Amino acid sequence: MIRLTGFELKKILQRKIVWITFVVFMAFQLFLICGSYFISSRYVDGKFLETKAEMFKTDRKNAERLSGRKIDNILLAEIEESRKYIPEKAEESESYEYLSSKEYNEKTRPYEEINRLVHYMAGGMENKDNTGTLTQEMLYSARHKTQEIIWDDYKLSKAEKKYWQEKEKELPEVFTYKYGGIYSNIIDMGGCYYICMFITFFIAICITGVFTDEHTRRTDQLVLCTKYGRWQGYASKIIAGCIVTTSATLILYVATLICFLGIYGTGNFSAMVQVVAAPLYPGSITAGKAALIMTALLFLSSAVLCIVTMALSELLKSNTGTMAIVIAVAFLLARLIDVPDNFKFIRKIWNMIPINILKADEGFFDLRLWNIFGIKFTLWQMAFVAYIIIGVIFFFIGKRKYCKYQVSGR
Amino acid sequence: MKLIADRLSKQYKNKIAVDRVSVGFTKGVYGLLGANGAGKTTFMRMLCGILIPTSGTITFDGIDSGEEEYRNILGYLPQDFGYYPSFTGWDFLMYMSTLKGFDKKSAHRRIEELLDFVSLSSVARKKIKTYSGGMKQRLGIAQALLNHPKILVMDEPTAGLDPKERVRFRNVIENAGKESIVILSTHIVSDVEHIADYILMMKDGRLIFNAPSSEIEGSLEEFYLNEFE
Repeated sequence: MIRLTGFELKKILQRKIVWITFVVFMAFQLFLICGSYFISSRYVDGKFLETKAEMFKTDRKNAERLSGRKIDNILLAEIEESRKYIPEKAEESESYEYLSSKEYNEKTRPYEEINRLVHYMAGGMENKDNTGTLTQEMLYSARHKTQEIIWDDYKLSKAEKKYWQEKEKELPEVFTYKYGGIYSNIIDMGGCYYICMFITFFIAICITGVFTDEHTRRTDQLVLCTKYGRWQGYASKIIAGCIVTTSATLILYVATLICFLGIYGTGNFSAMVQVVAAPLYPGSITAGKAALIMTALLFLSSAVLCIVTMALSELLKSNTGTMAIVIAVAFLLARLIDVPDNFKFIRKIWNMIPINILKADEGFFDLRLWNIFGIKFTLWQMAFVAYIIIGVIFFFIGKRKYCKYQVSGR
Repeated sequence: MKLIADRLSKQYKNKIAVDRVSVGFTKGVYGLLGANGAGKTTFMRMLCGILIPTSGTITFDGIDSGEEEYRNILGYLPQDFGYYPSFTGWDFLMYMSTLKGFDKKSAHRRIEELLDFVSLSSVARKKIKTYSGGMKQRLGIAQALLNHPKILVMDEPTAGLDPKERVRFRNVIENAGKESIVILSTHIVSDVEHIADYILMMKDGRLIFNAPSSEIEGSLEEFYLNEFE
């Protein structure tokens, strides 16, 4: 089986399209995540303000300086103080004079990141009562209120709300801000999401031909009447496809990590996910753990999508048809169609499609739960189980079709 | 050693490609003759287990054609088949030998033997896409012979071979027929005239003639033409 897999790998890797596609996607990924860092600059009112690299460095330094601080009355007062320097008129606050001023860079800018976080934590409700200084009681109470509004939007059942209320109790009363660094970017768009997007296309372009090429080249009749041409032949092709896909994922992932490390630094593994990527999320999970879970989901989904695609191509006997289906369902429809929250069951399934579950604000932190024999699972927990089941089902459907293939016509 | 095709039929919607063919094969060379569309290729595919018959069975010493054990003693050269263009001749034969269950060492030995035999040793490390039609056909013959098959099925094996190669090929088949069941189909009567121990003729899916070649009096070509008139 190992030797057979080696030959199947050779067949895939000898195709130029595989290398071209991979290099193009690698270039895209690197450009998307660090292109602006190296080549962009910030211009305000037509005047050069700073390079993007300088901007990232300053923001990172500011965030790291506040890292480890509790988001309590003391920090909130400092944030309030920093906001005093912001001009009232919006156009002035975005002018070159202000953004290049000492007040902005020394007083306001160091708190900009945490100010944004506080704004999200309170769901924009922090100044609703216009009571002046924001206190920690007001902030966390506003966060709870916002959570309830969102939970209603999600059409969460009473049981689900109770589940999340229990989870919320596990969180500390006062959050500690920690700089997320690399972890926040893995969770956010640039990391797992982009890689998943590119790998979906990579599979559609490069892996769909593994079985269909055997039929179009008419090598199938040679392979199928050999001793190990059926079950072992099938399994070795699937394994080779999965090796190529997961290797491509790994290389993209490592390249992305290296770029993130250079730009954002390591950050804090133990930072609460609430202060890094999902301010209103009620679950107790660290940014590092969330990034690891997302990474595991990315690799599993890549392998499963590869198996599904290969089995589909064997079912349809067409790589263009399979390519169209994979791109349409796994990418275009999944991203373009927004299933209304009223259709909760469909929405849950929809959000478990890899490209959706690997998006922090969509599937990964979705609060809708699966209730299996009284045990509640979050979407990402269920995704692990569902992906494995789907992978196994498609593996055997493909196997049945391949092993029973009839060489006729021609 | 007996290969039995028992009341073998294959039907496609409105067309019967093979119609209740029963035949037993023992050691020797069988020449299968028939016009285009007579059902030769369908019959051979069923013998190789890559086409399931609508009815009937194929067994070799009691082993069904769908079993791995059956495929282990089978060598097949299809009429029209492809290669992996980026593989070298050596890679292709190594791949086929792996599929046929060879270990690396014995595969090396056998491949060297066969490459020499089909006169491809000098181009073994060249990519198949650079081979001529005849070279590809010889490579196909080599892969079919890899596992010393007890059943060797060859569909139009001489297509693309030059006269010299054709003569050489006939000798190979003659030798193989001493130890195995060799079934070869062809349009070219002269290909089987001198080497086939038995002649089978198919017409419209039916086996219309099955007898030792020694029973055919006079020229096989004339006999063949008379049968199809």
